[in-house]
Amino acid sequence: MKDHYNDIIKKTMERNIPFIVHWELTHRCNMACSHCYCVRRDDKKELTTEEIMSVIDELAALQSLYITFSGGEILTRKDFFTIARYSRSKGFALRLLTNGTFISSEMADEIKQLNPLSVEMSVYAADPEIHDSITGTKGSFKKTMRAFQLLGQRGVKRVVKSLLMNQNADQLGALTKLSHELDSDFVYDMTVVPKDDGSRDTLRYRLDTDGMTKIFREDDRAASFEPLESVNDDTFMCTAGLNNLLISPYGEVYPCVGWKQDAGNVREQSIEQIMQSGHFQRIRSIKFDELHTCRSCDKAPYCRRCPGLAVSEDEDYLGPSSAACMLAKALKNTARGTCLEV
Amino acid sequence: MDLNSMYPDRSPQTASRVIDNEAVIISPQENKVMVLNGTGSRIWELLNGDLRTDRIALVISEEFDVSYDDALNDTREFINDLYARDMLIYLEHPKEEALT
Ligand code: SF4
Repeated sequence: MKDHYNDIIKKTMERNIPFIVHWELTHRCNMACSHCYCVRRDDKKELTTEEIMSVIDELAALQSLYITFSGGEILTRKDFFTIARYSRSKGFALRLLTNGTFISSEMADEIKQLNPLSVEMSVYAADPEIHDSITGTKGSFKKTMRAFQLLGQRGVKRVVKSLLMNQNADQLGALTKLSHELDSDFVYDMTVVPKDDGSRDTLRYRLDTDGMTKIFREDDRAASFEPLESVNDDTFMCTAGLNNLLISPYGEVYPCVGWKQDAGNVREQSIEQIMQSGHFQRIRSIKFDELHTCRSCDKAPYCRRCPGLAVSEDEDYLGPSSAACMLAKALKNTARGTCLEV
Repeated sequence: MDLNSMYPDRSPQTASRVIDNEAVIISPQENKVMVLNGTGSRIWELLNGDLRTDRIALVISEEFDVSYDDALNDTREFINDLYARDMLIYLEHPKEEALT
């Protein structure tokens, strides 16, 4: 079964079927998280309900299967459930990324009706004060916890999604425990990224390699991490623009959530045309050998280089990504259990 | 309720696509991914709320060159399994009729 599914995924990549779509429906949000990369553009117009539905039709015809709806905060869109129900009626599987603070019992019922694969909610600490200070919103922890409960009571799969940074670096154990108590899955990341407008203000919250190593050392999965046996086009290159893409609230289409260089707009072109644009074609053609620094890097087997971050932070899509370098160093330190390399 | 006289349709709770004659389906009960074989995928495509099980079996017997009886047994078994997993619903009248 797994092999069969992998074959299908391979086919979607070979034929550039946008099987996996990440859709930022809005950049509006009721919270003010310190590290947030979204920049609300009041000079641009968000896609209307009708425009979104027409793109959903197009994606369905292209055999897209998964849509992750994210924001901003998706529930600030009054038409969110209209859009989500329409997607389900067109055979899509949904993942919802939300801060959960708007979720009432009625909304939880509506979400249950959507039967999403998962509802992933950001939680930055098990301590309400730390969480609220990161979200810049007093009382947000309490509201998000209520959403976990309401959705849990209805049997909706929930995920505690966290970003570990300088402000909450000591929270890994507590968040793991909290997610057990909430009967939810737990995923975390440490990649704080620059803002969509290029500002690097957010990067001051990013842990250094030492801090990342400390976290990996607390995480059993990191200690048993298996580095890549061989590093090549198949194992190292990411799937940006192959079978996935990102749609912005304003209709711009990007090769993935990390690579914010648009290749076209759904208001002017079809998704199929955008996927055949020069930008997408170039991204798909990049070979490992072209990555001038990575190709001879001893940390490559530990690395999940993001070309989008290499562009936004380091301005070279063929160069290393600073964030990936730090994480790879930290992982190598941990998996080997040797002294720190910083 | 005689299910054989009704019109099976893919459940709106199920997410699916057919790529190169292979259906990828996400089951609504467990949200697990299933990939169907060639015959199963064709049956899945034919579950459109307009055809009864016997009519689907007829198409399968013609397209896959098997006897009608074998096709009917296999199609029924397959459809029953999907029904048990909440992956399809039965309509009393064909969908097309409902539209006219
Ligand atoms: S991104 Fe950095 S760590 Fe990763 S392979 Fe390239 S140079 Fe090495």
